[in-house]
Amino acid sequence: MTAFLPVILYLASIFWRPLFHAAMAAQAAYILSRGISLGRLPLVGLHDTLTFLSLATAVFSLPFHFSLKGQGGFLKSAALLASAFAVFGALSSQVDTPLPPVLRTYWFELHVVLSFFSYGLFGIGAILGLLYLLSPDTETEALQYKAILIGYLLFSLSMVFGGIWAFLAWGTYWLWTPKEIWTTLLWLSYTLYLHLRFRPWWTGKRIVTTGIAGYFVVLFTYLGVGLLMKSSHSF
Amino acid sequence: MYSVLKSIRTTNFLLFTLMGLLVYGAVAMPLSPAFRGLSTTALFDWMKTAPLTASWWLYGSMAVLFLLAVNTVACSIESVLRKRKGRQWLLTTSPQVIHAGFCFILLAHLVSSYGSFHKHAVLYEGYGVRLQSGIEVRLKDVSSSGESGHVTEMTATVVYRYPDGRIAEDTVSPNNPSFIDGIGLYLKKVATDPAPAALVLFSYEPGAPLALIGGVLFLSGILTLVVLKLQDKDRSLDYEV
Repeated sequence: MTAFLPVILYLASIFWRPLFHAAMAAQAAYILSRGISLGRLPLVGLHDTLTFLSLATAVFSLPFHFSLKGQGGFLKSAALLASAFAVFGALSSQVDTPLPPVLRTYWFELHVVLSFFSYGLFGIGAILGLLYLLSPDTETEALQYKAILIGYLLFSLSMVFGGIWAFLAWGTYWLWTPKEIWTTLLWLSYTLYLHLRFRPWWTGKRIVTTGIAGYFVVLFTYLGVGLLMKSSHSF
Repeated sequence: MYSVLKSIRTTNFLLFTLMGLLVYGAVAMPLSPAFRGLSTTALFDWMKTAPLTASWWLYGSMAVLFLLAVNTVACSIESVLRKRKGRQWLLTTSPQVIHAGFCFILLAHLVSSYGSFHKHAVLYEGYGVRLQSGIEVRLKDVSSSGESGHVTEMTATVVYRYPDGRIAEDTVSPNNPSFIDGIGLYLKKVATDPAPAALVLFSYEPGAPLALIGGVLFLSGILTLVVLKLQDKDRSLDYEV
């Protein structure tokens, strides 16, 4: 029930905004309680990672909400996205087993936390892109760029930390698995976004659509590859 | 020719082409048994034996990455030359630091593709193996502990005997390898029954230091760029012709 409470609060916040903060607080408390009961960072398996992604999306939406000076549609969209992750997380089974030795390292924790922070920001970038398509405004496009740029920094940090961890754990910083290739594709898709933006032709709807398309790569890399393909990141 | 190589249009075209090749590879890899040994063999050794029907996208990716590296260097030189008299030298140099990091990472992969190896071995307590350098690696003891039927900690003590008679001892555990003569010794599993033994991995990754340098350069460049861009209000500064 506790895992479902944020879902209800996020959805209710669409109608009464203060509940958005209540949803975040409830979700943070839930994650904290799982962490205390497990004695570790609760970031293994779909239940915990989706819940964390939901909270990351919600938290990172706040500075953009203030930058947009309270444009209602943005926070409602963020609440919808956060609730979607939260409901799938609540429905997924929990992994309560002790961590295997290879996951008992700060490199793993940094790698995963930064990945989901970046996924949250890429989600914010996609929402801002959709808002731009509905109502074109240069400020919204500039905010999408900022969300993606910070997400790209965090994702790059996560990749480098993941490489260091892989070298210490598996003797190589690169493994030829579909997950690694899709992760590279995700990084390349936002690299392409950042480079396309240098070209005057790629302005307005074209560039924001590229930013939205990147988020589909995020979702497939996180959920599609993890669930459909065998890799070192299988759930 | 040089104007094509230094163009950001070329960058975008190459990135898009590379993505197409990698999408094919990511889909093809799980479907073909030819890729099974790829993560334990140096890439170029694997490519020598793999059928071209399985490896063509890797040849294509390498060709595109080579062009991308040339394009990156050309773009960086051009950008520095064009903006050298500008006042925002950090804004000019930070993308070039990112580019340098990217090139180091590519170089790391190239070096590892030539000379890396990853070999598993089962060592029984009191027994060992001899490396090509003549160093003998012997397993002294193993230990493990668990919780609810799951192994949570494991360690192994190994003894190195050098050809000149010197002896050294080290303890390995997951995420804590031991390095000898440039080769990493990684603990994968331990067993106490029927006899104390350890599954270990001998790994040589010659590109790792270059990859680390590349990672540090990339991150320092992107961090500087993000800080500067977040302060930048004028989007028109971004455009290039």
